[in-house]
Parts: sequence; structure tokens; C-alpha cells
Amino acid sequence: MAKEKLIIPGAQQTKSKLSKYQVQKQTKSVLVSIFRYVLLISVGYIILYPLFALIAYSIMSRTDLLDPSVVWISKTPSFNNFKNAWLGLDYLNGLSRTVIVGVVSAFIEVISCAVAAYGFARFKFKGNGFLFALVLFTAIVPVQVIAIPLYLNFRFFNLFGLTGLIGGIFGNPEFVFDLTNTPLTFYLPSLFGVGLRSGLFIFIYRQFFLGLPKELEEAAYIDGAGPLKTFLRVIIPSSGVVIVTVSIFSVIWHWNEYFLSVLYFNDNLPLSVSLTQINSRLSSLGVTFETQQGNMAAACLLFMLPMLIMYIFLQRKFIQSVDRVGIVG
Amino acid sequence: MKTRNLAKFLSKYFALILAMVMLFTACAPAGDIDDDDEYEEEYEEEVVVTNPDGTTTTVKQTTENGGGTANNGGSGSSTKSTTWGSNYIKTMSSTVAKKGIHVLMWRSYSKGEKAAVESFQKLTGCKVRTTVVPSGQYGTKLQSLIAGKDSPDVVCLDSDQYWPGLAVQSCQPLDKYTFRLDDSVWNKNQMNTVTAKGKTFGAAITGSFINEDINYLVYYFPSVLKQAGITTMPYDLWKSGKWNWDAAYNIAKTFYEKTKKTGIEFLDRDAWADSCGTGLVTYDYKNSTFTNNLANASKKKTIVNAWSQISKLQSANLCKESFDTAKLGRGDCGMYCSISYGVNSENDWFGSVSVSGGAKSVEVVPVPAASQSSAYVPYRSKTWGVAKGAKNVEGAAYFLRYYLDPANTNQENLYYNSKCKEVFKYITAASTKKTFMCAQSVVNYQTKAKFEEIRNKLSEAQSSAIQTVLDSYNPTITSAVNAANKLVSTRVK
Repeated sequence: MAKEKLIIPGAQQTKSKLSKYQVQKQTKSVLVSIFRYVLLISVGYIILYPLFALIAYSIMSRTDLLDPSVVWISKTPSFNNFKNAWLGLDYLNGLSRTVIVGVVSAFIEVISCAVAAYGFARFKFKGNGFLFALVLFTAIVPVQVIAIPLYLNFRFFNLFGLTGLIGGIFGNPEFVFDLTNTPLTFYLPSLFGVGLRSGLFIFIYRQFFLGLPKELEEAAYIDGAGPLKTFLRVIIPSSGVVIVTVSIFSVIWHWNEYFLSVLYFNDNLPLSVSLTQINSRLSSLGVTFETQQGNMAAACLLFMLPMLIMYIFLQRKFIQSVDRVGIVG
Repeated sequence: MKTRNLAKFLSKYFALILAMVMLFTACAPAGDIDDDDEYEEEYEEEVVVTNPDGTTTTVKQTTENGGGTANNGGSGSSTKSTTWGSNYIKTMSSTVAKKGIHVLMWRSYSKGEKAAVESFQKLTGCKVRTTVVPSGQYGTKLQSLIAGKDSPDVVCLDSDQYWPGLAVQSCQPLDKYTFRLDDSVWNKNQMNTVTAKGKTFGAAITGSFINEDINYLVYYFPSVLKQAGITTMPYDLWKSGKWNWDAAYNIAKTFYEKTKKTGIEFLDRDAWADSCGTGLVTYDYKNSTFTNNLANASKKKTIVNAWSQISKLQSANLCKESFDTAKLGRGDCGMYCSISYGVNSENDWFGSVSVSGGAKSVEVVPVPAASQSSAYVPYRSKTWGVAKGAKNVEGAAYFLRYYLDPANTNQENLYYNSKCKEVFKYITAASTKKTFMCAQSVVNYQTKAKFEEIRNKLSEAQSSAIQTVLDSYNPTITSAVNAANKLVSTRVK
């Protein structure tokens, strides 16, 4: 007996309908994929173009910079621009100054903001909301608005008049500390949570601490730990990701800080300020620079290099932390 | 338990007392900030006097701080002088030298300037402390230093940015005797641009690169123009009295037709227009007033005609605005109208020239006007002043007299060639007619970057529309002029 093929009326029609659907789905998927890649490449190009331009210009010799046919790839590459940039930036001194002033200040800020944020997150006291609003306010007000009072504060640093009171006892009632031109102009604000972007960091920390389970702390209190011990032994170890995020942002902001550096320092300037003066410095050193572009490009790369190296090492942790903390940009 | 409670009680109240003490002591006056008037302090100092026979005599005399005296000749009598004399540097007293000088700069010194500063220090024993601040932060830094009682003794007053605003607010008038203002070495023309109510706020020396580097010139390379078929160079036209707007237009046009490259590029297009002798705003130092020239019908007509020249160049595609000096050296444009800063070979504008003849072949001519005889040299003034509260005004006077002197910065050897030298000396000579370009500083003082907007609109307008554009901005300019006049009248006493 021949096997009878079971024919279900309409079955053929259903199969073709499914194929059509599958084809449509596949086409849509391909188009979306193409669109995604185009978008990512375009955005990537916009973001990376300046970096590529810097790299290209920094290794161009004088001939290349004057040759209109040379756009990206140098015909006669040379590292002379880096040599001039090293000289013009006074790189080692500038780097050490930037590390001493900026990086140390950044790490002080990371710690102080964590302490302040924990207080806001976990302790109920009168004026909590109002004080936190003031903290956010410090992040909103641009530093240029309060530049002169800030300068005067450090120029005549008298601890609310205490130095005058003590000085008066010893015969010098006008005694003040002149903190300008010292790293203390950055250390002190960082220590007290009013440094660069401290308001923002306190906000980030606070949001993170609010998300931590209270049971952890309750367990610590039951074991006899006080608030400080709880903070150090329980909260900090659990906050690795947010600490990494805040550290990276803080270091980068301090690294790039320009306005306050110019305001507070008269000499021994950090790299961010030296970068703007490189051409006139080279001129005063008797270096006849070929064209400014190559030197500037090399100087910018030298300036960015330490941060790039830092990011390469901390990249994985940073991405994890951004993901967990939810900070974008 | 009782001890713990006592400790808590004491610490709480000690904290409260400390806070009260801090609050009350903080409220106490911290000392008066110096007002506009110089304070007087008498002290004795030694002055080295140069006698007519060339010998020197050291005399002791009392002086007023900020008002120094100088003796030039005689038998050591303490008469005040308003001229420097030939051996002025030796008359600087040791008391003044010991104080040192603080200079606030916006860039590092050039080689020649550095040599002048070092030589000044060596000759006088006076230490020069220089603080270099990026130009964008110059005003903020100056005000911070003044507020912090660390005023610099020497500041640069670039008229573009600082006149009248910062100059009047942060600088003190120069004393006639301290600066010997009657001496012929001073560039009275430039100094009048920063003078109000008979008080001068800045010093300048005639022909010095340091303060005459923002006069406008036209640069070109003869080899580039010759390659475009131009046989008569702008310099030759200028020498024969035929250098004017039409001649410049013809050269630009020929260059463009032959090479398809820009005929002329401008750093600032208003310089090309201001060579007619009438800018948008004029400053009269005798009456200490700014005037909106659009309010005068005949001046307005001159301004419209001047800006029409730019429109004519623009319509024929012969001009562009550009900061790139290297284009001239590559032969990518025929002429470049820019500031005289480039005439100083130390500034290396033409360090990377690929045209035939090299950097040394660059030539310059003054900015043309309707006719050569009616041409004015447009310029922005750069003078050097003394900040309020400066501790060594007399030292500043000596320093500026020395530093600005072209002889001390090896200036004679810094020109690219003799033609550049000749034209630079011409445009900086006291007898040459000049237009002080103060419109930018006046308009931008009230609204930042507004003048650039006006300039761009005027440059882009058709010839027939220039009057309309000027009329539309007339109220803005009038308001800015009134604000500047009010500032000068209220701040300068």
C-alpha cells in the first residue's frame, strides 16, 4: 500500500507565510545591523578624529607640514616635534607638579567625599536635605564666579580670624598664611569636600550608599562596631566600583584643571597651563619651531599620555563600575 | 560616668566658644584695601647724580613712595626732572633696586627681551620677577593679585582688551616725574590713547617692537607675485606714491585670475577699512571721550566708502579672513594684511617658507587707502602700565624705560631686510598719520564678541547694504560708547 501523503488544506499556504515572515525578519535584522555599524563608525570617527589628527601631525616633519599633498601619512616622519614639546613643556617638572598638586588632591577628594556622602546617606539629622542641596549647589556654581574671593581666601588664610587672634598675643595681629603658590590651595578644599566637582562626587557616592543593604551595617552594629568602624570595615570594601569611578573622574578633572592653576600659581605651573604657553616658551628658548601645529600636537599627546596609560590599566574596572554605578560620561 | 559626662560637657562648650571666637575675629576688619590714591611714605634714600662733567655724586634725600625723584646733573641738588638723561640707568637708587620688580606677562620673553631683562638686572642689581599668565586669564590674574596685595609693578595694556575697562579699574596713572613723561623717547601718540583727564595710564616708546607690534601692514613675497605675472610690486608702488585701494585690488585680481588662489587675506578686516582715518569709534584724549562716528554724516560716508572696498574684494572672491601666516610662505595667497608682529624675525612667522627667496625676501607696505596721501596707519595700542598698589613704581619706570628701548633688545638686527625696516620705521614714526582702532575694545567691553559680529556682518554685506548694516548697529555702538565714557568719567578722578 502506497503511503498516502496527508494533505492538510491550507498547509502549503501557511508554510509560505512563515517563509515570508522569516525573510522579513532576516532582512530587518541585517538592515538594523548595518545601521548600527554605520552609526557606531560615524560616532567613533567623530570622537577619534582629533586623536588621529594629533598622532599624524606630531610625527610630521617641517616638509610634511608644508606639503599640501600630505594629509594623514607622513612622507618623512620625524620625532623632532616631541623633542621640542618635551623642552617647551619642561615636561618632567610639569609632570611632577601636576602629580603633586592634581593627583594627590584627587585622592584626598575621593576619601573626603566618601565620608561626607556616607553621612548624608545614612544619618538622619536636622538640615540634612538643606545641606545636601547646598552641596549640589557647589557643583552648579562655576568657579569663575567666585575666583577672586577664592584667591583672597588663600592669600589671607586666617582660619576665621584665629591666626590674627593668636598673632595678636605675640605682637602681630595681622599675621596670616599666604597659601597661594602652594599645593595646599588644592589640598584643603579637597580635604573638606569642596574641591573640584566634589559636589558631584558626593552625590554619586550618596546614591551608591543609599543602594547598599542596611542589613550589612545593622550586622556590624550588632557586633559592636561604631559608625566609623562600620564605614571603614563594611561600607568601603563594598564600594570598590564607585571608588574606582570617582577616582578616575577626579584624577582626570584635576589633571585638566587650568583656571584655578593659573589663579593660584605664579611659577612651577602644572602641565595644563604649560601646554597653552608652549610656543612662546620655545621661542624664548631660542628654538626656531618649524610650524606650530607639529609642536602643539606632540605636546598634547605628551600631556594625554599618563592618563591614557592609567586608563589602559583601569579600563576593565572602570567599565564594570560605570555599569554598576550607572554613571555615563 | 561623671568624668565622661564632664568631658562631653566641656568639649561641647569648648567647641561653641571656639566657633564664637572664630566668628567674631572673622568679622573684625582685615585691614584697608588700598584706595585709588597713592599712600605717602617718606624714607631716606641714596641717589646717584650724574654731574655735567660726567662724574657722579651720591646724595641722600628723602623721597615719597611712588613719587620718586631723580637728579640729572647739577651739583647734587634734589630737583625733580621730567626727562631721563643719557645715563639714566645709573641714577636708579639702591633702595629702589633692592625692592625688585614684579612683571606680569602674557607670554614668555623673546630672546631679545630676555637679554634686555638680564642686562637690566645686571646693571641695576634689581631683581625682575616675571609671572607669565595665559592671555585669556590675564585680567582675572591681575585683579586677583591686586586684591591680594601682591600687585605687579609692570602690566601690559593691550588696548583691544584693556582700554578703558581694566586699565582704568586696575592701573594707576603714571606720575610725570617718576616716568619723566616729558622725555622725547616716549611715544606720545600711543600714550595719548590711554590718557584720560590728563592722566596717562600706559607708557610706550616710539619704534619699539614690544609696544608697536599691532600696527597693520600688508605682507607679500615678490617671487609669488611675479609668478602670477605681477611686474610692479606694492613696495615700488608705495615708493612712487601710487599705493592705494585700487592698486591693491588690481594686484589681488591679477593674482587670483592667474593662480585661482586668494588675492589677499586679512587678519582683521576692519584694519583695511580704518586706513581711511575714521574708525567706527574715535577716542579724544583731550576731552577723555569716545565718539560714535556714525553720528557724523560725513564720517559715516567715509566709513561706508571704506567698507565698500572690502565688499568689492569679497564680491570678486579676492579676499578671505585668516590667521594662517604659513599660507603666504607657501604661495597660497598673494598678500596678507596683518599686524607688524611678523616684521620681527624672532617671532618666526616666516620660518617655514617654501617660496623662492625664502623668509628674508618678504616685503611689507602700509595698508592702502583711497589715495596714498590720505592713508592712515591703523593700529591698536599696546602700552605698559603700573597696577594699583604696586610696591615699586619707580623701579617700574626704570625698567620700562630700559626694556622698551629698541637699542636694548637688539631690534636693529631683527628685521628680515632693509625694506621691512624702512616701512616699519615709517609706520611707527611720530609724523605718520595713524588711526587708533578702539571700536573693538569699546563695543566688546559692553557685550563680549559683539564687535566681531558687527565686523563679520559688514564684511559679508554687499556695497549697497553697508549703510543699512551700520544703521542697524548704530544703537549698539552708541550704547557702548556711552558706557565707556561713563566708565572713564567715574573711574578716573
